[in-house]
Order: sequence, then structure tokens, then C-alpha cells
Amino acid sequence: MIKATNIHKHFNDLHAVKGVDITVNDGEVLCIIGPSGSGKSTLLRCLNMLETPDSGTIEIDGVQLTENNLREMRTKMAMVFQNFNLFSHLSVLENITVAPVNVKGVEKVQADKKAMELLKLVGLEDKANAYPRNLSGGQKQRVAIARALAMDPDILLFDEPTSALDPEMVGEVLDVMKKLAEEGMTMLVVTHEMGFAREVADDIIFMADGEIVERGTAEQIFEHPSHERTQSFLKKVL
Amino acid sequence: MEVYLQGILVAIKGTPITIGVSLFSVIIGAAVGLGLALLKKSEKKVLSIIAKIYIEIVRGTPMIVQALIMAYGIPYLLQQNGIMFKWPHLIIPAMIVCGLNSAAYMAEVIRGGIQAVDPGQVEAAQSLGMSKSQVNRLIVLPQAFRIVIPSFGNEFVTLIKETAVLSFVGVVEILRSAQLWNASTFETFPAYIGAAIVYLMLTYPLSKGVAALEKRMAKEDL
Ligand SMILES: Nc1ncnc2c1ncn2[C@@H]1O[C@H](COP(=O)(O)OP(=O)(O)OP(=O)(O)O)[C@@H](O)[C@H]1O
Ligand SMILES: [Mg+2]
Repeated sequence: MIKATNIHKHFNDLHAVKGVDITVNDGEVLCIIGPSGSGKSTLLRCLNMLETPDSGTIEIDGVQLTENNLREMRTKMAMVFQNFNLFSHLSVLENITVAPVNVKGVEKVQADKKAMELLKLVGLEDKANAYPRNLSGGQKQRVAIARALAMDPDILLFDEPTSALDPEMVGEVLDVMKKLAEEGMTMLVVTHEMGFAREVADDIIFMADGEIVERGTAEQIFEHPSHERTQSFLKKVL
Repeated sequence: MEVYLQGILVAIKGTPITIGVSLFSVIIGAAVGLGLALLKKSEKKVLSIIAKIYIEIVRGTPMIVQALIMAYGIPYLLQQNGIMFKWPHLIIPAMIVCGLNSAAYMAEVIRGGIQAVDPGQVEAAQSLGMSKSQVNRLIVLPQAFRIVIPSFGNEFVTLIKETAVLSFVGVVEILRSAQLWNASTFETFPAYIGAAIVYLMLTYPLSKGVAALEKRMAKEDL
């Protein structure tokens, strides 16, 4: 379980995240939707301290994140980025094993074996020795998901994982994410894919202007949004 | 005609020293340059200031003066203080000075290479729990190194020419070979034109090679 309390983040005068509380329970898929600039990415990046929050606390399974345990805590919440951010000088296999081997001290043989299993899971076992530059966007993102999974994280954080993809490749990535959701992976997903959110999310959070406007099931958010801001946002995107 | 051929052959005798000094200088320059680049990048102010001072001193003084200080000044100073010191071979201070000079330049090149690495990859590495030094060692430096390899090649070419000033310190590289031959034969024009031709024979194919490498790497990547 990951629990963030009262997260604030300013960029100079801009109050990007305004005291957000968020809890993701084990096995839960939580999607965050909201207009551009509402602070979704910033919130996600605050959770693993890629942005340092001005204030607030973050806990995983009751252990509070501090400067001292940051690296260990980060291994428990692996992140998948909009632009994949694969290591361009490493092969697909090395992309997946570099962190387990160097951060967690997993044996190379063991890490390779696990990486091959994960590549199978994302349907790319034939690309183990390819380099990122030779992959399509959809393939890159699936490798990035395998790389995140290789850490055996408690939770996966996704920041618009399909926004940089050509439309015909969105499906293959969403399919992998659905499979993970079915297997009980805990996931926090910032997304513009309303279809995915509706189908997969246990809960949906609507964010606007750095605040959580409302949280509810797909049914509640999409069919009976209780706030006017949610209604007008959904009218625009649906 | 024969005297020109002779001039070239004399200059060629100096090439092993010129190449050797240049090669070692590139290696020293790359290693020290990497250290300087990391110091400059450091969050500790003192460290980045040390790197800056080093670079200012090296860039603000002629290499020949540095070479004279290293080759003759320092042994003199040590001897004045009762320490018997003599360079076993002048090539050693020559390589040190050229290498330390190169380092100031390479530090900038390496810093540029480090900055050229995709910050998204750095974030990805951090998000996987890597420490700062792991991010550097595993992700940033290998990519920065690839980026700067052509610059190392160009620096090697530059050093082949710049090491000519070492002739004034007494290192018998290409130019010094030519000077010595001129002093004994008075074939002044063949001596120096021979040196020029030999320099060109070295630098032309090398810079073409580096350009080709640069082109191939640009194609392979991105
Ligand atoms: N590093 C930064 N420096 C300054 N301002 C920033 C920075 N990162 C984000 N912001 C600003 O903070 C606000 C929230 O940005 P954020 O990226 O979190 O929004 P978002 O909801 O993810 O939007 P999008 O849907 O476009 O990705 C925006 O106004 C943005 O311009
Ligand atoms: Mg965003």
C-alpha cells in the first residue's frame, strides 16, 4: 500500500500540487485523469521524489520515505515514462537487468532468466538482443514496462504511457497493462485513455488545478460525476 | 630532389616520439579531463572552483612556458632545496605537460558529452534506485564517452601539431629532428619542408579517419 498525505509542490510562484492525499491499496488500479497542466505528472513524480515535494509525507506499507531510505523505497515503486526513457547504449536485455544486478545485487544469470520471462510476458522475447533504436514506440514502452517489473516493485507508476505512441501502437501497450492489472499488480496510472480507465481502473481520480476534485469508481466518475468541473472535462474528452 | 627526400626521412625519425607523446597525452588528458569534468559538476563548491582554477591557469599560459617550468624549472627548484632530481628522459615532462593541457580542453568536451545525455534516462535510472555514482558509471558516462570519442580523435590530431613546441624543450620529435639536421647540413628549406610534409602525412589521414568515424556514429545512432 502506498499512501501520500498532504503533498504540496511549487514551481516558483506556481502552486502545481495543492495538498493532495492519495492512497493506493494492494492490488488496486487507480487512474488519474484531468486536464493538461493540472499537476498529474508532478504528483506522480513527487511520489518517488523525482520532484522533491515542498511538504507532505509518503509511506509504503507503513514505512515513511526519507532521504536515507529513498533509494530502497524507489525500488518498490517502479516508474514507466511517457517517453520510455530506455537506456540507449544498452540492449533490451541489459536495459532490464542493469538495475536488478547493480541495485539489488541479483546474480546476472538469475536476472537474465527473469528478464527473459518478463520479455515473454510483454511479447518481446525475440528482441532480447536488440537495441532501443531498432524498436518501435510500442515495443520500447513494453520493454520499459518489463524493466520496471524486473525490480519486483510493490507498485507501478505510469505517466501517460501511451501518449507518445502512434495510434496503432496504443493497443499493444494497454493490453500488457490490462494483463498486469488482471494479475493483481498495484498500479497508479496517469492517462488520457478514458476507455482504459473505464475498463481497468478500480478507482478514478479527477484532478484539476493541482487538487483532487473527486475520486470514485469508473461508474461514479463517468456516469454520475458529482462536480461541475469533472462534468465539463468529461464532456470535452468523451 | 634527393635532398628533399632526405629531409622527409630525417623528419620521419621523429615520428615515434611525436606519436608517442601525443597518444599518451590524449590518454592522460582524457583521464584528468574526466576528473575535472566531474569536479566541475560537483555540488561541493570547493571542488568545482578547484577545477575552474586549474582550467584558467592552463588556458591562460603558453604551453611552451609550462613545458619549460616542468622540464627545467621544477628539477632546478628541487635541486635548490637539496633534492637530487632529474627527469630520466625529457619525454616524461613533455607528456605530462601536453596531457595536463589537453585535460583542460577535454574537461569541457566531456562536460558537453555528459550534458548531451538524455535527462530522461537519468531520471529512469534514479527511479530504479540507482545511486548518483551508479547513474554516472552505468548510464551517463558510457553514453557521454561515445559522444566524445570523435573529439578525442581530433584532439590527438591537434596534439601531433602542438607537440612541435616541445622541440624548444629538447625533445627530439619531428621538428627537433629537422632542426638538428639543418644545424649540421644547412639544408634549411628541405629540412623544414620535410617536417611539414611528415606532419601532413600524419594529420591528413587521421582527421579523415575521425570524420568518417563521426559520420558512421551519427548514422548508427539517432
Ligand atoms: N519542472 C517544472 N518547472 C516549472 N514548472 C513546471 C515544471 N513541471 C511542471 N510545471 C508546471 O506545473 C504545472 C503542472 O504540470 P504537470 O506536468 O504536473 O501537469 P499534467 O497534469 O501532468 O499535464 P499534462 O496532461 O499536460 O501532462 C503546469 O503548469 C506545468 O507547466
Ligand atoms: Mg503530465
